[in-house]
Amino acid sequence: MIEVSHLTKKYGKLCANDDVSLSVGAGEIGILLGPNGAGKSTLIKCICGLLRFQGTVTIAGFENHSVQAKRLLGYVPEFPALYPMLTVSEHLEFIARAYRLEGWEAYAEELLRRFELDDKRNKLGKELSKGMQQKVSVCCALLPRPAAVILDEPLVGLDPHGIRELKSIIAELRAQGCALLISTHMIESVEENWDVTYIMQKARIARTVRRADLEGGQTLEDAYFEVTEGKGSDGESEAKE
Amino acid sequence: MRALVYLVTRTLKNTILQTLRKPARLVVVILTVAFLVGLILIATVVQEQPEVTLELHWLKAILFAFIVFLGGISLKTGITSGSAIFSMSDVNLLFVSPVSPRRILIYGIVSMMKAAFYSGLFILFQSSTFKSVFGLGFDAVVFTLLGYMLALVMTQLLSLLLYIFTNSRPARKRLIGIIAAVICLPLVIVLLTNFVATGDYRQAVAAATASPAFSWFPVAGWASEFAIALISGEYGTMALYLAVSAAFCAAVVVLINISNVDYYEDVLIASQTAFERQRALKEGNIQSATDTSAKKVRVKKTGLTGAGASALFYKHIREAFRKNRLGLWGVGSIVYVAVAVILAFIMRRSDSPLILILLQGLMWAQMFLIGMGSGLKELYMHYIYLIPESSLSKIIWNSLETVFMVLVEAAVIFAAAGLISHAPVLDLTGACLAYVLYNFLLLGINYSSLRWSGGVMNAGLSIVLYIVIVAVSLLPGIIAAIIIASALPPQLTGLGYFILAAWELIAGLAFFALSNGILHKCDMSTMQQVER
Repeated sequence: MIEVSHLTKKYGKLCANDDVSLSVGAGEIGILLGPNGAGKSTLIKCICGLLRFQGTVTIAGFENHSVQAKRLLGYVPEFPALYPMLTVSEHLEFIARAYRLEGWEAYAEELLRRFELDDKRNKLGKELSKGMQQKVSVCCALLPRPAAVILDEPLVGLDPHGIRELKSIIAELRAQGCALLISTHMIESVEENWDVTYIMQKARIARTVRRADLEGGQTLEDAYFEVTEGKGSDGESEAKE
Repeated sequence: MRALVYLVTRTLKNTILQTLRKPARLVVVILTVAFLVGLILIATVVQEQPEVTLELHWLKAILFAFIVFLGGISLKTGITSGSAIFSMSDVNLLFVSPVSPRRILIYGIVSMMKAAFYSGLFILFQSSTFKSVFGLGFDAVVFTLLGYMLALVMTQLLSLLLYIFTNSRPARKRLIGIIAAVICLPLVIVLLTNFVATGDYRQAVAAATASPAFSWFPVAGWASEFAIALISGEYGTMALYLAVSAAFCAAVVVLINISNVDYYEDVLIASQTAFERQRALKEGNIQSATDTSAKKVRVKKTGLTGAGASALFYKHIREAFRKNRLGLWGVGSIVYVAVAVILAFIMRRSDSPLILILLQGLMWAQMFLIGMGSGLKELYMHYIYLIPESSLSKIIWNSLETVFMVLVEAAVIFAAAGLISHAPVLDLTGACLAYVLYNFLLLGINYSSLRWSGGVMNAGLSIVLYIVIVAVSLLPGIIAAIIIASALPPQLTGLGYFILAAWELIAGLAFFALSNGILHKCDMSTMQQVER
C-alpha cells in the first residue's frame, strides 16, 4: 500500500534521507524507529508529499502527489497544527467538505466520543491544550477513512485514555486492512502491535526487522539498541554531509 | 554577577560566530551594511542640500507619534500579559539560580536595550529621507535612533510596572486607562484649539510641538525633545530631558523593587506566551503563532460551507468573521483605509497628482501587507497540501479572500479620494482597477517564487529578490502607461491606469501559470530551521 523507493532528500549539502526504500502492505503496521536527527520526520513529510525529494513514493500504486493518492492518505503530524479560529466540530466539517465526504457525521461523532472531545466540540482550536489539539489532529486524519495512515509521534502529549484509545484504533484499522506507518521513540508503546520495523540511523534505513526475524525472546528494543549502540556504531546519529 | 556577564558576552560571541559560519546570513549582513553605508554616502556626499526643507518640529512630531503608537501597543500588552523582557531560558535557568533578583532585573534591562537597538535599526536607513526632507545629516539619524531607544527602554520598564500594579485587578486597569486619557488630554486640547483658531493643520502641529503639553508628555515627549535637542545642539535641553528620563527609569525600577521584589511570577506569563509563540513558529504552526490576541472569542454561529477546494475560502470567511465583526475588513483594513484617506485630505491642495501618488503609496505598502492574508498563511499548514483536489483550484480558492478584501478597500479609498480631490471618474476607476490587479500580480509572484525557490530561501535574500521581481514585472506596464497617457489629450490621460491594469492582469496570469503545481513541487513553507 505504502511504497517508498530510493527516496533521497537533501537540504543543500545536508542529506536528510539517503536512498531510503520501505514498504507497508495493507493490514500491516510499519514502525519507524531511530534516534533524534535520524531523518524520520523528513521521511514522513516526503511520503505525505509535503517535501520535494528524489525517488518515488506511491500509495496504492498512485504517485503520492496525485489526487487519488491524497484521497487514500491520512496524516497525523508530529506537532498538532489546528486553526485557532475554528471549533473542534468545524475542523472535522472542514475536512469532510474539503474531501467531499458523505455521511461522515456519525463517524465524526464516534471519533469525538472515543477521544473524549464530545463536550469540547464548540471550543476553538486556540482554546485547546496541546494534548487536546493532538486528539483533534488524529480525528481529522482518520475522518476520511484513509486506506493508509502515517502517524508521526502520535502518542506524544496524549493522556492515558487518549493513548489507550489511539492504540485500540490503530489495531482496528489494521484489522480493517489499513496500512499504518508510525514513527515513534516510545518502543514499548508499539511493542505488542507491529509487523515490520525500519530502524533509521544517519539518514538511512540501518535495519529492517520483521516480527518473525526476532529470535529467542529478543524484543524490538533489543533490536533497536543492537543497531544504534551495537558494535561498529559510534552511537551518534548525525546525518551525512 | 560574573555568571550574568558571562551569559551576555558568550551569547554575543556565539551570535557573531553563527553569522560567520552561515554564508547566506553573512551575505545578508554584508549587503545590509553595504546598503546602509551607500545610503549614508549618498546622503552626505552625493545628495545636494535641498532648497526647501521641512522644519525640525515636523521630525519631532513624527518621532513623537511613532513612539506613542509603538509605546501604546507595548503598554497595552504590558497591562494584559506583562512585559517579555526575559526569555524562557532565563526563566528556567536564571530564576532558579542563586543570583540576586535585582541583578537579574539589571540583566533583563540590558537585554531589553539590545532588543531596542535592533528594533530601531530601520531608522538608520532613513538617512536619505532625513537629507531630502529635513536637510539633516547622518548624525541626526543616529540622534533620532538614540531618542527612540531611550523611549523604548522607558516603555518596557513602565509596562512591567503596570503589569505588576494591575495584575488580576480590573479596577486598577480601568484606572490606568483613565490616567492615560488624562495625560493625552492637554496635548489634544492644544492641537484642537490651534487648529480651530488657524484652520491650518501645519500651524496647529507647530504650536502643539512647541507647547509644554508636548515637551512634558511622559516618555514620548521627553524622548522626542531629547533627540531634537541633540540634533539642534542644545545640550542643556538635551541634558534636562535625559535626566528626566533617567530619573523616570530609576523611579520605575525602585517601584518594581519596592512593590514586589519577587517579580518572577509577574514576568512568567509574558515569557511563556512569547516562548509558546516562538515554538509555534518553529513547529510551522504560523496560524497559532500569529494569533496573538488574548481576547475571549464568543462562538455564536458555527458550521462551514463549500466543497472540495472552495471549503478553503469559506473557512477563511468563517475565521475572519470570528476574529472581528467586520470579517475580512478588520482593524487593519480600517487603519489602512483611514491612513490613505487622511493622506489624500492632507495633499488635496498640493500641485502633485493626488491619485497617482496615492496609488504609488498603496502599491508600495501592499507589497509587504499581502503576506498577512490568510491565503499565504495557509501554505504553512499541511491541510492544503493533502486535500485531494487539483493544485490550481486550491490556490485560486485560497486567494479569493485577499481579492475580495482588496476590492472593497480600493473602492472605498478611491471613492473617498475622488470626493476629496474631485478627480475625474476615469482616473479613479483606472487607479482602482490598477490597484486590485496589482494585488493579483503580487499573489502570482508570491506563489511562483515559492514554487521556483522550492520554499527554501533565506528570508533576507528572498525579500530583496521579491522587491526586484515586483519592480521588473511592473516596468513594462508602467512604461506603456506613461507613453500612451502622454500621447492622449489631458482629459483622457486616466486611460494610462487601464494600460497598467491590463499589463498587471497579463503578468499576473503568467505568474499564476508559472506557479502551477506549487503544492506538489515545493517544500511545505515553514518558519523552522532545516530539520530531519
